[in-house]
Amino acid sequence: MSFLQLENVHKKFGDFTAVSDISFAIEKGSMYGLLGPNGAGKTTTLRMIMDIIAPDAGSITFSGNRHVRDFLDQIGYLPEERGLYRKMKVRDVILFIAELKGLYRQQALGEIERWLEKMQLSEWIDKRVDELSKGMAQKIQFITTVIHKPELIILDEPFSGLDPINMTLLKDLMLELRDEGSTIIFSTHVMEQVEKLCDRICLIHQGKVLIEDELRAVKRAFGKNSVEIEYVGSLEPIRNSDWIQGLNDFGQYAEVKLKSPESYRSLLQELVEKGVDVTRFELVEPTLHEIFVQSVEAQGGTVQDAE
Amino acid sequence: MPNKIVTVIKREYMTRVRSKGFIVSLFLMPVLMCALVLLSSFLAYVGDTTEEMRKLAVIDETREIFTQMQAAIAGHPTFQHKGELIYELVEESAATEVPEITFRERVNTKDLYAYLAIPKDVFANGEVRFYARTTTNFDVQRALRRIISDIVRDKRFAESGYSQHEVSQLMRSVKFSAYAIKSSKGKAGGAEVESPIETGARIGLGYILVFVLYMFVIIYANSIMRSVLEEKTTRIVEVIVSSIKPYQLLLGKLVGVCSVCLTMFAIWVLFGVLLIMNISPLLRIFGIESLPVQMLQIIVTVKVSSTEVLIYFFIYFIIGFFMYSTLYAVVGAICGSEEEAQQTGAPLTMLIVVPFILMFQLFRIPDSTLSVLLSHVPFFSPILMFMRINVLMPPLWEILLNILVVCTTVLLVMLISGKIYRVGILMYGKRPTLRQLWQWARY
Repeated sequence: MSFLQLENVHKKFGDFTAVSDISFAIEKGSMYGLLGPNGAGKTTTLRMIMDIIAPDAGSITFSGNRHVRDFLDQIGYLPEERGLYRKMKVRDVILFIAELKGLYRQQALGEIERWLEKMQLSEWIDKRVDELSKGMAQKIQFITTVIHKPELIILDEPFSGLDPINMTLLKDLMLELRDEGSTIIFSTHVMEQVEKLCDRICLIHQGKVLIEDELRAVKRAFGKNSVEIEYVGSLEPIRNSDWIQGLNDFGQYAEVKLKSPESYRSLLQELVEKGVDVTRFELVEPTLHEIFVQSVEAQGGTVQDAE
Repeated sequence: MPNKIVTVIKREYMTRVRSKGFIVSLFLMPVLMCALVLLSSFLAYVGDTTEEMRKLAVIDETREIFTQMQAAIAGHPTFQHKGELIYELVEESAATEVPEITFRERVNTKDLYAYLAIPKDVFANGEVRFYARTTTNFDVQRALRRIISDIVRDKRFAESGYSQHEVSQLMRSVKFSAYAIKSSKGKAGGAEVESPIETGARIGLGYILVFVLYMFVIIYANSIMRSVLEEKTTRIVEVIVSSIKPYQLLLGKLVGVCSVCLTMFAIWVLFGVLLIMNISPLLRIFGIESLPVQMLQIIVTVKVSSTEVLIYFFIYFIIGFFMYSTLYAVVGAICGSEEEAQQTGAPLTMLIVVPFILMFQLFRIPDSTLSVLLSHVPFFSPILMFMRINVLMPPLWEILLNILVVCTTVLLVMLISGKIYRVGILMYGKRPTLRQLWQWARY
């Protein structure tokens, strides 16, 4: 029995199908990524898991139990659109939500100090929320999501709006929480952010599951069909090579997409034959974004809104 | 496990009580209330405040009233400002054959303040006509009517052979005072009566209380609406309802804010009691040894009648608060912005403004069928029933029945509202139609 399981979940808003036949299962203590462009149905799926909206069909079970509401205190949820009571002090607002999640005041106060220190926000504890920067408020909101040590953490676009430093901080925290035994499911539309972070991913597009598997397996299935080349001079001689499907030339560095994973040998040979001065030639895994684009195209669709 | 409704109540209560707004209202409201009372009595006392001379033309066809009018006006307070006469009477002889239209022109160009046409047959049955740019200057009209009536009456008496002295002796008006009979409530010694001052004090207290009830329900119902809207627009509500049920959030919010109001009232009542109990030593500080009898009577009346009235005040305030605030919370829940909410909430405001306006008429006929019926309309009861209790106490069974009916209504309203609220706070985009609301309510 999986920790969290979705089976054939459907949701329509009027005539618009937001989620169509989504199924996946999340094991305890794993990190699960729900990926897809804007409007793919990620938020709707997460809101259905939270029982904020009810699915039209299908079932969502939490350790085999259909009543997610009975386990709310063991879940931490970070909604996509961020907000806190603007007029309240940082301490009070975290305390309020911690108490709602079932923590006692004393216990919560200790946790608040510990977390603020971790987030390097200790000196803001008595400031009002509307004095914080957007990134700080977002960190505070992350604290409110995890302060009660939930078994399941649901994060809707946790990285949006964060600078690289805070993004790294958040990634590390998420991994730390997972290692402490929490199960994490999060959504993002910026797929590069999650490379190597997830144990398992689900790529969704227009409400449907494209790929659902372990990250390693996904990458393996798509093989290494990309090459990074560093060179001196010009790549012009091989621009129209038979082995290349796509080329992104940066002048001294280029990303090449191969027609097939095996054609790297032929390409290397051609580079040598045509006298290109190659200083580095490396086979790389496709990015999730490439996998996504390929899967969409394989199903006869086009990607309009994948950043 | 801490009680989560208590957590919500605590937050609503603490954030409001700690806010500057609360402290300010705590002190400012009584000050404003006193200022309002003082201002209205001041305006009534001062009356007309203009200082410029006003010309009043009199077309006197009788040719004998004008002179007497001039004398009468000189000694009449309505025509004076700070002891100076500010009205000038100008006699316009009817014989000059000036058409009235020219007077109208002169009034229009503000050359004349007004003009008065006194017909020849005024001693018989003629009509005195008063023309001015506005006829809302009732004080002036009343005074002129009085003065001319006296002149005409004196003349009639004189013609019948009575002297001036005899006339004023004969025409004295009767002293007339109204006494309210208190309900005896089985007390020995029969029904007691109340002096006009006591009645005034009692009704005055009731009037203030109805006003406070009305104002607080409106202000705090709106505050709840904004608070619901804030939680919705900041999406924090999603986090909250992932911890507690929406109805718990709504209930906690209502109880929390209601407690804020009750705290404020309690402080005022406490302050009032302390003030009344220590009135003499307090006055002595200001060098006042004793109060006029009327003031003492007022204080005693307030002391005696306030307990019962305050109990009913608290009951009807709590009922009214929950009734209106629940509805306003729903408005907040189904709207997406403050402007939208203000518009949607406007019809609801009528539910409390209408009985408040009706009250000004109905308090004169507290036991009429109309008053009784309207006071039993659940949405009007907090104001109209409370008004009846203040003016003419209805039988106890009627009040209890009313409280029962209104409480039931409040519960029903909360039940239906709770369901709409539950759906509304998590819905974004277009405001739902009435039909959708109905679906949500049955969901």
